[in-house]
Amino acid sequence: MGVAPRPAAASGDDPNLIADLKVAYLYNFTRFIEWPQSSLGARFDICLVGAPDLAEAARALERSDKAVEGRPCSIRQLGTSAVLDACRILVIGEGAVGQLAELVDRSAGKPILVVGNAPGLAHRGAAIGFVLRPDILGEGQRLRFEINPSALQGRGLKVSAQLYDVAEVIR
Amino acid sequence: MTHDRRHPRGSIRSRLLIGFLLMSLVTLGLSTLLSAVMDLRLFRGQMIRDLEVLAAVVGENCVSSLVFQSPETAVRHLSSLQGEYQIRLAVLLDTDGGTFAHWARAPGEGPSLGRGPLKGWLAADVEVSHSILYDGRPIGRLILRGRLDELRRQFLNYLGIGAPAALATLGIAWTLALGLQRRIGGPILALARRSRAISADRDFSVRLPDPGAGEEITTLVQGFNAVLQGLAERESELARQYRALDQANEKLRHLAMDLAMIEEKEKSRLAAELHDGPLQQLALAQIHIEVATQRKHEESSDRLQLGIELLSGAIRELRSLQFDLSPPVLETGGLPAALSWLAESTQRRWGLTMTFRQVGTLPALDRPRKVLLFQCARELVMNVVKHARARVGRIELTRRDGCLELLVEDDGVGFRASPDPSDACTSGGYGSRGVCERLALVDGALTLENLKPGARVRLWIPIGPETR
Repeated sequence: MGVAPRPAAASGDDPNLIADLKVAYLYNFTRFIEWPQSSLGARFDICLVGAPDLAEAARALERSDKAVEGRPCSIRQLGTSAVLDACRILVIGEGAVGQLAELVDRSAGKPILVVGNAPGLAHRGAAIGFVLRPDILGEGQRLRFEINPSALQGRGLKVSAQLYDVAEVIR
Repeated sequence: MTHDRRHPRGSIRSRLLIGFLLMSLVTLGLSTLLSAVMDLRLFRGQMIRDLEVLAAVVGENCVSSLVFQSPETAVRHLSSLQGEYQIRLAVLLDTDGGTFAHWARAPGEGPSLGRGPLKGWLAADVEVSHSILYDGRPIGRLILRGRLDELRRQFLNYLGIGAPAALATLGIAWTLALGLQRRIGGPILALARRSRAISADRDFSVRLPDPGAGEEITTLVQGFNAVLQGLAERESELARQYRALDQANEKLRHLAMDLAMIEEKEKSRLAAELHDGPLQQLALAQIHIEVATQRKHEESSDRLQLGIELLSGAIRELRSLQFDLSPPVLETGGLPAALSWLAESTQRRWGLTMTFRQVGTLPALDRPRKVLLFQCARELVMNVVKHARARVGRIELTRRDGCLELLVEDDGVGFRASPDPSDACTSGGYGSRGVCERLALVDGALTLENLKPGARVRLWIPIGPETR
């Protein structure tokens, strides 16, 4: 039994590649998390706060034909004080780590998936947090993510068990 | 008539039995085979479908692993197949066809694939492939390799069920076949038995009833009866021809008897003519010569005397010949008188002491039998004279048990070889064959015996009603 070496896309050495991978993951989350139908508008808004490193890759997603529940993806870069109600995914980057708690509070009770784009954010209130882990073959880093189930509570989001399978679940 | 009881191809009963059994076995074998093939095919299809469903479920569970690049998770999902005993290997491929994750039941078994579909009905392994879609696009493929041990087990189960079923069917078929054999073969065997009995008794008047066992048997019985009818007609025709032959033989016997009578009549006529013709003339000549001797010269009287003596001798010979041909005493005095004359004549002519004796009262015989018995006696006496070298002989005529018996006996040398009393007509010789042939005309018989010294010939003829 074993795991074959992953292609370069899985390694965490190239920042652009990492960004592309993270944006792809963001999109993939929508396949394993169900938002309340009433919360879905004409577009599926993915909001970036303090995460300029993902902006370019996110724009690429926006330009693609990818859709969530038939709705095109829309990327919005927001400031820490912006209104978050339309956001279905809120990505908090390095630049907004300090406002994490406030942003989590403001989004509480709303169908917003808070994703932390910095190490350890899932432990601090984000529902999902990206982390880089060393590859088991020691040939680089691999992008993984943590899930904090308690941070998902009260938001009306239904997370597939398959997502828990591939995630590092914080107990 | 002999019956060949060896049946190179077996009797109709055994052939029917074997036929029924073979038919049952072939039917059972074919139905079991077809059933087994169909069921194994269904079973195999079901196993493959189960594998495909399993591949679909596991493949679906591996979507997140592929999407989020988590081969460890994929391995964990593949390992869940541990509980499915028939799965030996599971390999998850990415879009490029590279191995993303794999799991094998046997340690060391690599992810070598491509064995293809099931090889043969009872092949050990099978591979199924499931394409994994994400957002409508393939993101990988899950391949499961399974074992089809169950299929073999199922096949062995069929063998386990099929063999006792075949034996049971054989037993039932045997029982049924015996019953059917009796029902179908019975009328034919009865026909064969009747045929043998009819053949042995030669009673062709028998007709077999219709056994009512089917059209073919009825046709067979009708054909058999027709053959019997033909045989009966031929038998009847044969009997008729036998009767005609008997009648022809009877006529022939009468003709032969008539011929003997004609011969005797001719002899009588000849004797009469000898008496009335030459003998009269010779007697007359004798008288004239006698007269001449009294009136002519002494010189010629010697010669004339000699002529007279010669003429006397010729007259004696001619007279004797006349009696031999047909003694007048047979007509005038009957058979005993004729036989008495025969004895006396024989004694006088051949110097042999020959006597005749009649025992009891004799019936009145018709002329043919009278002539025949005299001819036989004369033949036998001439045999004694010519061959027996006897000094004494006797003739005896006796009525005995509806027959008339004639005995001729002598004290001569007897027969050279001991004659067979039961076949005197061929073993006797010395003219007894001629006597036999004459006796056969009147259903008579003859026996010969050596007396040491001498011989005895005894013959009988039946006394028919017309002769009394």
